[in-house]
Parts: sequence; structure tokens; C-alpha cells
Amino acid sequence: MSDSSGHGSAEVVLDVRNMEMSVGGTTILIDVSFQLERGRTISVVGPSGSGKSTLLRCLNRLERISSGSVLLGGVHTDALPAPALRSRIGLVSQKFALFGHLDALANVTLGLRRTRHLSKPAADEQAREWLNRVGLAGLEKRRPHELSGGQQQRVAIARAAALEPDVLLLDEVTSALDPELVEEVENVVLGLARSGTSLVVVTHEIPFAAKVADIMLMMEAGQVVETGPPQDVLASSRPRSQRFFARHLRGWGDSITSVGSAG
Amino acid sequence: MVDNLPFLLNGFAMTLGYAAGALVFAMLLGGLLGTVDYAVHLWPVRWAIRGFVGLFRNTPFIVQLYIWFFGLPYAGVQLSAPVAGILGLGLYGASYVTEIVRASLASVGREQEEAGLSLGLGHRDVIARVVWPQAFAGMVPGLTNEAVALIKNTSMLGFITITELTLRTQQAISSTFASLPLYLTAGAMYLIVNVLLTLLARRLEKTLARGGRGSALNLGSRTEVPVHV
Repeated sequence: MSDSSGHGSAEVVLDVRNMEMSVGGTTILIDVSFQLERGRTISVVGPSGSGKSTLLRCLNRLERISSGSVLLGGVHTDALPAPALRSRIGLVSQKFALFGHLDALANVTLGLRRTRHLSKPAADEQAREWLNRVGLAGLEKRRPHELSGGQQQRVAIARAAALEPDVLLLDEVTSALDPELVEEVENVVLGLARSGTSLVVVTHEIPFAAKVADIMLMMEAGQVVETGPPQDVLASSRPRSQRFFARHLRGWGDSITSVGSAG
Repeated sequence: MVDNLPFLLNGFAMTLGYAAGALVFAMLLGGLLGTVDYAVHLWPVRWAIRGFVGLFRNTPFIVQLYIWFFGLPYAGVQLSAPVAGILGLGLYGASYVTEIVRASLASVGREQEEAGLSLGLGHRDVIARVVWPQAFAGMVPGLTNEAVALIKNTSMLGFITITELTLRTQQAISSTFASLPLYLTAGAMYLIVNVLLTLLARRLEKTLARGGRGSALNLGSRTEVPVHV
């Protein structure tokens, strides 16, 4: 059932139904629906202000939705207290916001100890393992200001992923980074995607969005306007989508569609 | 003059005792109210705290002290001088500490708070384990100022019959008429304790900065907060 390579029968881990969100009369999300199968990755693209980040914040319940529902593993999440929900639907934001008073290891162990109630040795071990997975072995004792932006963002990803949430939301995790640091973080995300973590990735990097995802979702003015396998979405005949992709893929030529279908 | 020294030192000990008691009271109450003001988003709570701070910061300490000691008996409540002294100094100090704590917590930033929340930490955990530790280094200069001010304000407790250093000094002067030497001696005692306190606080600040605590804050500019001694 949960075999990520299966088709059709795969378990839906995240089911978003008719989600709407408005603040003070301004509607930010309109009738957003999609499903994420366990072990799969959805990438969300679209112009700035189209509601991508708000979508993730609503799923992590940093914002309240106005209507619609979110099902996690088939169960309505309304009844879940926010902390319980958040530890199962993790979020990494573009401003990594590592805890400045804690070293890399303690940044990762805090959540493990407080939400998973692991003992200190168990939490330390798990945190070390995750820091190793994101390529930061040996830097456990570094404090955030002693790490590069890319390293900080990788700690932030390890911090959220170490809790082994059902779904991990990544909000433009490379957009605050210097260009030369983008790739190291993208590789970590690709690694997570390939190891079967269920991901929702919001990104401005269209080639990466195509490469990492099984399904690509395009948003515009709070609505989902395209959804499907990346190569299909990129080949959309919808004029506005075409213009958006043309702007973001300038210089990438035809290589992108082949990248999308290789994944 | 030298004959009067034990008499003054006795007052000095009294001053230190009242200062310590009121300081602990002010820090605990101010720490609690500042934290609640930052963390609890309920308007009645917020208004109550703002009201407390506004009332106690914007009226003279001596008027507050007179109300506790000379005013309350009018309403049928007689506080002893030590109770009125500690309560008066403590509440007055707490109103300042509340603001220092609230502002320092706010300076850590909502991003840090959201980072904690989004991991699934409870609100209390986020305040206690994410926000407070990073805010603390930033509080030290302001709290030091407040402690120094509080120690100086103990000099007004003599008005409600507490035999602290300033009252002792005046009593000594009334029998010896050696006003200048005695006032200078008393001043030196206040000076010594406040300078020591300030130096200690500077060291604490440096230790905290070295430990990387409060790295989210710009400690460089905060250490420039003038401390009047």
C-alpha cells in the first residue's frame, strides 16, 4: 500500500480539500485542493504573492484556514492540537532561523527531546545521524553564526527532518542563500526526496522544482492553476503559465523537460 | 567621624538588606509580568500589565512610598515599615523591569518563535527554551541600570522610619554637625556598591556574549547603554 513506487494504490498521506484562507477581507488562498502520496514530492511554483508560502504556513498551522480541510493519513487534522500537528507536518522556512544560543547539535535535539521525548543520549545520536546525512558531520558543536548560510539551512532541514514528520514542508529553502550555496542545499532536498520523505517544496528555482518533484503544482493569485507531472506542467498550453516558465527558464533551453521526465 | 563609622555601617547593612529584598521582588515580578506581556495575547491581561507599568513608572517613587506607609492606614490597612519599604521599592522597580524584559523578549524576533512552534514545541517551551535564553544577554545592561537606581532609591526609605544609610547619616550629623565628611562617607558607600555591581554586570555580559548567547541580538550596541553610578 505505502510502496512509493506503486501507482494508484499508494497511500495518500496529505489530502488538502478546498482550502481557503483570508485575512481581513483579503482572500489569499482560494479553493486549494491536492493530494500527496506517501514518499512522494510535490513542488509548488508560481509568481511572488500567489500564496505559496501561505499555503505551507496554513498546513503547519502558523496561519488558520478559513474553510476547507486537511487530512493527514486520512484523518481530519482539525481535532489535533497545533503542537501535535506541527510535529507531524514539519516546516522549514527560507530564513532558517536556527536557535542562536544553541549549537548545531542542540538545534536538532531540542525538538527530539521536547516533542518526541527522547532521552539525551538517544536524541544526540539521532541528531548526529541527521547532521551526517545533510553533510555536516564534525560541525555539531558549531553555533549558527559560525556556519555558512548553506550550512545553517542544512541544519534547519535536519532539525525538522529528524522528527521524521509524515510530511515535510520546505518554503523556498534556497532563496536566502548566495548562488554558490544553493546547490548544496538542493542536493540535501533531493536526497530526502529520494529516500522516501513526503515533501512539499515551494521554490522559485523551476529547474529544481521539476527535478525534485513527482507532481508540480502552479499557483496564481491564491489558486492552483496547473497540476501534474513536471514535464506536463512545463509544457502547458496555458498562455500565462507559458510566459511564467519562459521568464524563469531563460537560458535553460530544452534540457529542463528531459530533467523533469528523468526523475 | 570615625566614632560614627559603626553607626553608618549599620545603616549601610540595612540599605543592602532592603535593596536585596526589593531587587529580588522586582526582578521576579517584573520578569513574570514582562514575559506574560510578551507571550499572552489577551487584551485584559495586556491592559492590566500596561496599566501597572504606566501607573508605577509615571508617578514619583516617594509618593508611592507615602501611599503604602501613610496612605493605606486611612483605608484601614497598616503596613509595617519594612513591608511598605520592600513592597514600595519592589513594585516601583518591577514596573521598569517589566518593560526591560518585554522589550528584550520582543527583540529576539517572531521568526525564532515561529521556528520553535513549527517544530511542534509548545508555546511555553518556545518562550522558555528559545526566546528567553536569547533575550537574556540583552536584558543585562537595562537590569543593571535598574538595580543601581533601586539601590539609590533605598535612601528614601528613611522617610518611613527605616534606619538605612541616609537616615543614619542625618542622625549622625544632627549630633556631630560634621555634615560634609559624613555625607561624603555615605556617598562613597553607595558608590562602591554600585560600581561593584556594574563591573560584575559587565563581566556577566561579556561571558554571555562569548558563549554565543544572544547572537541574534546586536550586543555591540547594547553594551554602550550608559550605566550611571
